[in-house]
Amino acid sequence: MSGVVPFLRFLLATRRYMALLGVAVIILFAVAALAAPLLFSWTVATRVNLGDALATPSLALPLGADEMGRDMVARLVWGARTSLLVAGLSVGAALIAGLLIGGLCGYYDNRISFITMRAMDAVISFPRILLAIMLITILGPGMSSLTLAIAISSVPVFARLFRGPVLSLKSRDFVLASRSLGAGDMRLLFRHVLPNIASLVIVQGSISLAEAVLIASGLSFLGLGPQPPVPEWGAMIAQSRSHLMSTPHVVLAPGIALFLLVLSLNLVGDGLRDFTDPKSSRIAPGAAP
Amino acid sequence: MNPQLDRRALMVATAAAAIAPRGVAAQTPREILTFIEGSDFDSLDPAISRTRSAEILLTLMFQRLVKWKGTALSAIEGDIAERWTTSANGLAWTFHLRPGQRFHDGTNVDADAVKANFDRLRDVRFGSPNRSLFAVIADIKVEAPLVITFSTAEPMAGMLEVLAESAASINSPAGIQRAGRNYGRNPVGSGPYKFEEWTPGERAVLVGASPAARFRRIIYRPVPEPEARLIELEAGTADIATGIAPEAVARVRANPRLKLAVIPSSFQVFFELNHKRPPFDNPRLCRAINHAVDHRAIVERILGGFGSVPDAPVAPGVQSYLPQEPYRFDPDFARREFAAVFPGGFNEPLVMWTSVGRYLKDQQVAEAVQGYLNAIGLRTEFRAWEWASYQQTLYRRQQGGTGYGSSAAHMWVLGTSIPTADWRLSRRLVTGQSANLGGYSDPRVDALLNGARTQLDPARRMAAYHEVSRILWTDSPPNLFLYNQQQIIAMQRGIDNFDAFAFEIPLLNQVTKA
Repeated sequence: MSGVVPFLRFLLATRRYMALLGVAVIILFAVAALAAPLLFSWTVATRVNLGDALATPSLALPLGADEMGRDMVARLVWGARTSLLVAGLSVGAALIAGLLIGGLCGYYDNRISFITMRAMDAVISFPRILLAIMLITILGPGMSSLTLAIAISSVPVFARLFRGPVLSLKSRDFVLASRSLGAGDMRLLFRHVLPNIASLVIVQGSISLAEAVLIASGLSFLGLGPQPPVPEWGAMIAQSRSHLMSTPHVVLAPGIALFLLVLSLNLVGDGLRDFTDPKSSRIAPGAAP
Repeated sequence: MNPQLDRRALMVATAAAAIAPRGVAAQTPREILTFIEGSDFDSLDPAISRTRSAEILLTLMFQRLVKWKGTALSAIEGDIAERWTTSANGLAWTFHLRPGQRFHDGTNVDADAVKANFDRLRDVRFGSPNRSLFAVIADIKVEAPLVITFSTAEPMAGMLEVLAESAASINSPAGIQRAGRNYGRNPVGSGPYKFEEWTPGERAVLVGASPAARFRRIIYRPVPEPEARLIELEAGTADIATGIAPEAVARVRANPRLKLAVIPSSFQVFFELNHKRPPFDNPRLCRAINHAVDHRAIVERILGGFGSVPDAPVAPGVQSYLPQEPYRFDPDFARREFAAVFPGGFNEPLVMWTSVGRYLKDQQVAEAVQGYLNAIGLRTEFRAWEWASYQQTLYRRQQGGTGYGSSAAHMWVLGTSIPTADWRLSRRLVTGQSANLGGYSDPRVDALLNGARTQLDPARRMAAYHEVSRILWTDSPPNLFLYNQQQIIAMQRGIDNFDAFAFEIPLLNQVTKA
């Protein structure tokens, strides 16, 4: 948390306004997702009221209603909760697993780590969405299997990414110095090596979050996500897409929400990369060095 | 070569290709008819196939002994048979075949071939899913090369209707022999069109094989997305598309190059209930749940008015149809009924399954039903299935599938378009029948349906069906009835004489194309 203020300051100082906008949008979605139960009850988001089916935007229904007559704003807010929950949990889980696998395989460079990494390569050779579909087919559709499928399909990315730096860090002087002072493997790995790839974790984490949101809604679009009546943006687009010509708002609203969230996550990811990259000059782009 | 230039040339070519061939230029030639539908099929072996979409092609490739005359389902005419007689006691049916007919492989259409087909259908080891249709036939005798007699143990009122079913199509025995296990992908019949190729999920092609064929080729392509089907019509790459979404109807009407046909359908869509486990082992709650759902709102708001509120356990146009009072929407009544049977509340979640895109707006309607059930205080667990695995699971006998009431689900969306009373009702409702997925069992219904099958007096037979209809509607409903479908079909303006059976089989060979 202590890094947030310097990060914002960096964005301001380097005039990365798009990234700042991204931060604002993410905060907006995160607050909406957290406060969803306070803003709209679950009943409002899921109650079928065919009298209002495909209602156009009005004061009572600012974004209109979907095919089932459910308030689009309530569905969007609860959908944000679903998306962020699935993305956050899956990336969190994948990150931890990736760190462990990548860290251990980098630190102990032996036959087991060789085999593990080749296994990771094998997994990575499947297109992610295909792998996720395969896993969900086995587990059955639902929110938890969606999260798990995305997590499993992201692990190899993290493992590969983290192993490299660990491999080089473990022979650096400060690690060797610490070892000569009698530090054990675990202490070396967790106190000296892994903290040094924290920036990598943060950057890759934010970019993976964007990817996870997209994959989650893609799978939901195919009907492999949380089952009705749970609001999910991808599923909302899938269900209402035949109305694109007649009542576009029911398709565009979740589409735009998805677009904004993914774009913001990517912008923030880019900002974070520049922020943490020691090689990037911390001067506004375009300004003379 | 300069790659930059190359890419630009490619882009120009692509853009030109995208803009240019609209309208007449892109239309398929006159002698080829391209038909697109939402689903592919399982097999082109008439004895095996269970899908209606396959029937569209089977009707073109095969002949049967007899067939329906026109789409009104009021009269039957000869197809392979030119005439037939019934014995005085009603137990023997003798068919005289038209001479000189040949299968597409050149072999003769004769009594031996017909017998071989029905022997195959009735063979337990072959395991046709349509076997029970023909179980009443006790014996088949070849009297002469072109004369064949079917005998039954009891009088069989619906004999001709059964023989007009697509499962009763006559295949070439030599063709079956030659293709062996692959026969479903190499069918050989004697109809106006001959099978050419079928790439599952992509297309099936038939070629004209007799002077009766109006087209040189008929191409069937499965296009699962309703929106994509409409776009194909607009682009002129298809002639006829079925299953147009209600919300797209205005778009078809506004397009001067397209026209629309709305044809009644014998399809009724329902949630089949699992009668082997609570709460629907209790007929009282099967009635109650029909009152929990606002049928009118579903038809008007979700189907855009392209459908009707069920007023009988079968759709209009189905034999045995007897209009009754539609269920009134009364959620309080439904809630009270559940409370009366389960004073502490029904605490298990109701597991509801639905297909996606198989029937008009099936998933949306199922979701609306879920909303109505939640509104009367029932907990629900929803699952939307892809059709192939759905059908497989539904017909699996062991735990996990619905397997005849041994189900993991309480209710599942299905629809049926079968127009004949016996085949439509008996297979789903008679105790222990092959398609009785819900484990429905009512001795009165069993007795009436089994009795009607052997009742040769049409009036008394119909009276029995009407009595069944009353029981199924007011006393012991097998389903949560949802809606009667309508066929919304769009086609190029130049297509004329389009007609379709109420069971959603279009008669493609009588269409004309300008």
